[in-house]
Amino acid sequence: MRRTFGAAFVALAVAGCGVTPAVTPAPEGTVAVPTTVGTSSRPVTVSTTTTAAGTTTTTATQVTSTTVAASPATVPDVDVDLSELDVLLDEVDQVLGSIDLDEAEGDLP
Amino acid sequence: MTRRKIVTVALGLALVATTPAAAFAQVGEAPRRPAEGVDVGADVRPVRDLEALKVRALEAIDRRLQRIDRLEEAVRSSEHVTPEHRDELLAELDRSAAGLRDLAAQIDAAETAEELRELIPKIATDYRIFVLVTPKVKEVLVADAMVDLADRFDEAAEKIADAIERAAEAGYDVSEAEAALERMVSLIDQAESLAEGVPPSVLPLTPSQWPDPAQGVIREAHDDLVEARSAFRGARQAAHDAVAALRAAIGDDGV
Repeated sequence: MRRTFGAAFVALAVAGCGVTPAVTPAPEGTVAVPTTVGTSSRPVTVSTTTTAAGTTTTTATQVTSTTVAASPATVPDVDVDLSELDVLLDEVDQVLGSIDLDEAEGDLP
Repeated sequence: MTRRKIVTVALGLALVATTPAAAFAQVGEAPRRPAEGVDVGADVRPVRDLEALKVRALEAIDRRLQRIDRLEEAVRSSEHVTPEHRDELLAELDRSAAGLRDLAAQIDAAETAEELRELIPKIATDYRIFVLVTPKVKEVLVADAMVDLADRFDEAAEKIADAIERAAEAGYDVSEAEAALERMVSLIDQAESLAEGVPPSVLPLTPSQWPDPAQGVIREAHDDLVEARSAFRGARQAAHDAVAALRAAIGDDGV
């Protein structure tokens, strides 16, 4: 019963950080963290302590990303399509290039 | 033909032809050729009679009406011009076309050289279709297209920023990509600022303000647009640099 409470606490602790654990918490490990573009693994340190009275407390601490080496599974999508900008730039070029500031009104009789 | 007759004819032709020539010396060179059979000097245009003069004047008006048609088509077909600018440009083009048609009717009905001398210069001075209206319309169209282009650049910058943020979260070194993105955003802002200033500066210009200050304003606006285009090109390069830096940072892990 107390272990069940402890597991629920882990879930709440992680959910409170805006994430949802996808795996049963282990003493040390990682949990799946949904992001705006998919799912990446963000490391979480989990520790369990038991008091003399027998109360078990489990805490989860998120490890800062700078300490973690990325794996291929965490590679972000950097495929940004810039071709539309080229098309619009060409369009601007054409109209701008057609402006003749040396044109005159000298065709009158 | 006696010498006296030649002089009389020459003076008559000079009276009709030199006044319009002087009136338009300020706006450009017109084709010149000597009058047939009469030596009236290099500065006198060939004018046989009032009807010939009318025909040439009406042809000049027609060329301007054709230009107005093309400008209207450009405005109507533009996907970037704002509704306010479109309405303002079309209204000005409509007014110019109506005025030129009215002027054509007056020229056609003129019966004296004096009337034509008064009416013909108005083809240029009252409308300035080639030197003012044409560049004004095009500059507004380009400026609005550039403002639209800045929005597209902003969208691309947001996508790049998002990718950089995710890469940073994953632990990659994104400093080079961030620097390129910062350069890109700065250039977009510069380009947009230059383009946004063009319509309010050129739209109020009227033919009566030619050449001063209209000519200078039109040229300054053109210079701003050229500079904005250069900034956009720099922004495009910076965007490519940012994506390339990001891919390089990710290395073999990248897609």
